[in-house]
Amino acid sequence: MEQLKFIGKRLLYLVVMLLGVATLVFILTKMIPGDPTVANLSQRALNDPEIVAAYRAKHGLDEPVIVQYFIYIKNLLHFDLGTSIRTNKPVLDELSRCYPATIELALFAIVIAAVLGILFGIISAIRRNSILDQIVRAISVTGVSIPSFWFALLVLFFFYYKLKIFPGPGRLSNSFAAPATVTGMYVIDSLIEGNIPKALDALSHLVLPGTVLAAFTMGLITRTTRSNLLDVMSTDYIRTAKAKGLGKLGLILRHALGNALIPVLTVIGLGLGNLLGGMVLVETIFNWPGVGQFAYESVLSTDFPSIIGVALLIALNYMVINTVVDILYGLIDPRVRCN
Amino acid sequence: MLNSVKKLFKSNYLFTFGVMICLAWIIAAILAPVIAPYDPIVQDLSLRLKPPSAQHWFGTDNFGRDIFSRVIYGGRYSLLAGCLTVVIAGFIGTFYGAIAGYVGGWVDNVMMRISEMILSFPSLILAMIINAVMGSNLFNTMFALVIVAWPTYARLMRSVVLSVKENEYVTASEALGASKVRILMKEIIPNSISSVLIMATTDIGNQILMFSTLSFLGLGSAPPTPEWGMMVSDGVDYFNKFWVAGFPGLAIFTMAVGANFIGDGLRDLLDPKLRKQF
Repeated sequence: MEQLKFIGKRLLYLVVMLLGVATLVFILTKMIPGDPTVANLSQRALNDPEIVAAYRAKHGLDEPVIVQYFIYIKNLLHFDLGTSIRTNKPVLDELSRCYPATIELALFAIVIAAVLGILFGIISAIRRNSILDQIVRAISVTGVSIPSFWFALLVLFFFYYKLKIFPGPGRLSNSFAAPATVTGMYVIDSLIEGNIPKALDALSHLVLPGTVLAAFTMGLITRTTRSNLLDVMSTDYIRTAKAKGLGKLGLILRHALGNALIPVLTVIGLGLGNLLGGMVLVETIFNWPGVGQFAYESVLSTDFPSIIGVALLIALNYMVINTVVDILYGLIDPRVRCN
Repeated sequence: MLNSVKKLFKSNYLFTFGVMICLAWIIAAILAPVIAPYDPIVQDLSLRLKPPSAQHWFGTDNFGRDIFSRVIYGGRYSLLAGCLTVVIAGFIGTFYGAIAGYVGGWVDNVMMRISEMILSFPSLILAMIINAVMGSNLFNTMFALVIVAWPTYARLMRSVVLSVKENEYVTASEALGASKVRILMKEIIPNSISSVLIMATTDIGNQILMFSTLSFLGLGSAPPTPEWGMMVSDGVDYFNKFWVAGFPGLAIFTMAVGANFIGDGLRDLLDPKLRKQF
């Protein structure tokens, strides 16, 4: 019962925050200088007075701002995000086309970041202040400080152009046709088709953009794992286990790591949310047809309905991930639930 | 404090390294007209895309401009944008968070929900939208960065103020009849500011990265300004000429690494929990 109450509270909070973000987006759209019909309709649509009149009526542009706000919220609740000026298709369709590509890349990146980050964090904590520790810390600071657009160019230059180890931009090599859409994620869809070479090709296309995306989050996870593990290692129960004669590795793996990883979960969750936001650069450089590339192209052509759609989608993602992490946190660590 | 900093220099090589890198960039930016061998803007198409040589240490770009000179001048924009963003965002965030934390109640609730609304937006996308709405130039880019950055400071400041305001010297000041504004300015803020200062040092690196990211995307200052992010984006079209994007990118990277090393070192020094471990 207590758990249900906790989850209910988090979900209610999610709804309130979503409303807040939608409001912020509305305020931003009101800041766009000039006539909103010009900002939201294509040139061809603007020449047709009927379309302009229909648009004004639909969004209540002749009504007071507060009425416009309620119309906007009503449209959102009906999943109506308007039509993209650039492509002339509903924004929702565009987003659902791009989204799986982004999710595939983000999931791949977060797995790399979590595995390497936790591993580096453990190494760094076990060998505290050794040369190994300093090297791992330098790697994590590098991951946090490297400009992702530059890192992307570097890995493309070395691993694709010079060494030819990994494929270049895009989701699949030209020799393969895109798999039939089931999930929209090429690796999984190729496996469903039973085409292993195609799945491997799609996977190898994920490596370079995935590594670039993972760098920043990996750095954060390494730092968090290290400092939490060090904290836990100085607690009484670890001292007791040590006194019982447990080896250092067994001590860390069996006793310390479980508790040290709880805060790491938050960093992984936040990292996944940030990855989705950081997609813009990586997708643009690696020609990855996801939400980030769509966002960049929309900003360049000042396609406001699409920009707003992307902003809402990414904010929604971020908040849903946060809520899930919060709930998981509460389930794993009862102290959080009580507070 | 001075002794601790001295100890930090001796024991934490990464911190010393960070200070050296940042100092070098600051000096280079100030003395740019003396150090840079060529004009960063004047074009010479006969020297287009020349690889690094004794005359042009970092090679030349697609307009035949000397990349070394452009990198040296570029430090001015990145440093200025990074530092100004942090100072302005830190200033706004400090007062906002201090007021929210000190006043408490519904004021605190409303103020914090507003800042969370901004935080729940991916910062790059929000900065891009603000730039798209306002038009892109150096000033607007910095404005966008400040809008995105201040809520983090506000949240940190609020959390510190919540504990500082329980101190006895605050109660004593209240008992003496000091006004709320006076307590806020003379007691609360000076005693809470240190964590904001540490965060600001680390944040300079982040802001330089954000700034160069926006200019890489074409949302920063206009060409031919020698701005690092924009120079990397010029290099994308000349993929096989590694020096065009390579050196400006290296500049952003070293600057950000330096700022991060300094921030890490200061955090170790001022956080008592970590101090025991290092």
